[in-house]
Amino acid sequence: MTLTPDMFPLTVSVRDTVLKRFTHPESLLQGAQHMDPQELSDYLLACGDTSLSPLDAVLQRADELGDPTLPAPSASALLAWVGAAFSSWERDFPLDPAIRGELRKLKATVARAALSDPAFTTPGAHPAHQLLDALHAAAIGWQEDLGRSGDSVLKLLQDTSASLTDSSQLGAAPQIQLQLEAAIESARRLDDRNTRMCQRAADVERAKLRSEHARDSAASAINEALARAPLPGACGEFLRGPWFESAQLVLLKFGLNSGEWQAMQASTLKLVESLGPTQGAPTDDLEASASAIRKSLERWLLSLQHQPDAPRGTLGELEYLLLRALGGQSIERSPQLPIEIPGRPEGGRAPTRLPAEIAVGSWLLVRSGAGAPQRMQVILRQDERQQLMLCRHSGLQTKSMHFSDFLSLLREKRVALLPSGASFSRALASTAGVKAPAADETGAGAARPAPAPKSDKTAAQAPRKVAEQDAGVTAAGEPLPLPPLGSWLGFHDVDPPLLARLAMHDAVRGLLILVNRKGMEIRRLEEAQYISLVQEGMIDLLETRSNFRQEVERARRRMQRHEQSQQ
Amino acid sequence: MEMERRHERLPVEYRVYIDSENDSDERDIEICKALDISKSGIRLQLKRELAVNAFIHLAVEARGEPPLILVAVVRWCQPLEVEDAAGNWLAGLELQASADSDYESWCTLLEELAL
Repeated sequence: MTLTPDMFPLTVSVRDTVLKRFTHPESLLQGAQHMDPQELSDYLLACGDTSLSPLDAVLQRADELGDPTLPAPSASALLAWVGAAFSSWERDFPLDPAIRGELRKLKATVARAALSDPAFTTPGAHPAHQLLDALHAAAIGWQEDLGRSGDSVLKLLQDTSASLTDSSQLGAAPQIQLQLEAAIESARRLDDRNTRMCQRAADVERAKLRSEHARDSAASAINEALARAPLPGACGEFLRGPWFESAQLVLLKFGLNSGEWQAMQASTLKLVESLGPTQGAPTDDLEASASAIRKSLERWLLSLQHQPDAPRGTLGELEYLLLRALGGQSIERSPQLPIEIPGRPEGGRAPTRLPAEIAVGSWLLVRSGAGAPQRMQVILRQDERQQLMLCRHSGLQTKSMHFSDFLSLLREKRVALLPSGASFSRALASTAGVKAPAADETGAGAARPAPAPKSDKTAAQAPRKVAEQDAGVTAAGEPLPLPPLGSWLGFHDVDPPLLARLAMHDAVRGLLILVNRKGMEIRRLEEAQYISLVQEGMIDLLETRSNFRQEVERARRRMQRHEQSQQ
Repeated sequence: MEMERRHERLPVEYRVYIDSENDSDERDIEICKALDISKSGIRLQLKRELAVNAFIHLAVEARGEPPLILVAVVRWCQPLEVEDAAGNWLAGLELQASADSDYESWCTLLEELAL
């Protein structure tokens, strides 16, 4: 079994194992002179080559100065262990080379902590371990091409190494302790911020998937009704138009198994049966029957409820047709075209299973195109719909794929899991020879996981203040996960629900302006309000219209064909 | 009637695609003509009346390049007194600096044209 993040911090020290494994043989020789602890500490700080292990750095420095002394046996073992742990950490938990370079600057500070603090030999328990664990978690998605979005990570690392190096130079242990704690807090805050940004991207995607599902379900149900019998043209247009949009809103608000959706379907069938050619004998009370059908339709016409006069006009013609049809008069009927249901890329594929470690929050190195591999995080895994969604640091460049496409990438070795979580603590433990206990092992072991394990995330989330969690992320220049301009959104925070189109996003004032189908403003939201509504599930993206850019491209091609035919 | 002018207007004859919806709620792409442009506005000749204060999405095809997608608010719209094949309405639009639009490219284009 491998060591997992939830086993940390360990509950016992690995000091004895470290001394056995790593003590420098020459330091044990009889007559060997040992360095003064302060001198050893100074040598560590003076070393400029961060690629060296702390022990090699000290020995090299002593050699340069013609110093014949060696670190004491225990010191040599601790320094060698820290060096081996750093190498293992870099190999088994790889980060971008630029990040690795910054983290190496902390090697001397960590080595000094190993020499001065007995608590250092319990992996995961010491603030220096927790700091490197937290920095790794915050920086795992960093890549140079992230641009401004990645600046905060690089700045955190640079500030951390600068402040800890300064404190180390001063040599004040309490000051170093404070700096470590502050740096851990900053790293965890940054990691949390990234998690929130990714969560927002996932929220938008989840809403989009729900909308697609609602659209398909609504279209299927209405198409079934349209196929039952020839109908008046006005009825077909009504069912394919506002009724279809309202059906999507009802599905989004109440769900496929709700009584509301069942009632709406019953209203659809009643309308179709009443206007179809086999509506039966003429009804006695025409007006009451037509009015009852109209009322049942009106109840579910959510898409027009923000335009008070619209339902009256739309339903007026249907009511007139109902009066005629129920009265046995002849009305013109014809077969009605169904609503087009776009083919989803996942349609018709056999369901597959993904490995359990491809979980929300895990990081991957993905080579999906010709460019450089990208570090991406799993932010959404929908087993039922076989959809996986990945994004880069800060919720950038989201990528959705079907499970089978992901498995293909995995088989072709174009996706690799990037291990994370208690990374440095795990590297320290594994280089000290700690093995994870077998599932049935209950006896005393060399090192055992803590009885109440506390993962990085749990520790990181506990002390957060609401104000910090909700601090204006977009004001800091982060991208707002918005659908394209012109998209229709359903708002469920108002009663009745409001259907509105995204007209513009004023990034300077942090405003979203939403309009009705005539282009008139009907709602204005601050970015923070929008994000909050998305998180509360109050906004659904209704992909009922195609993208304006695509529409323009289609219009241009039509125009070009037309012009060519004229020549 | 005309919007308050903050930038110099350049006479052009660009093709413009307007996003609009007809009475049956279907999306229409209407093709019309830009008569003059500035950083903050555009004057269109078109075949129908636009509602004042309405937000519209438009794509301007300038110099044969891929169209620039812009967001605008209709500030005025009035009928032409003479018949014209390009349309009998004139409208003044105020462009909005919306994210996800090509407004920055629009400003660059205007700077290049002004040189």
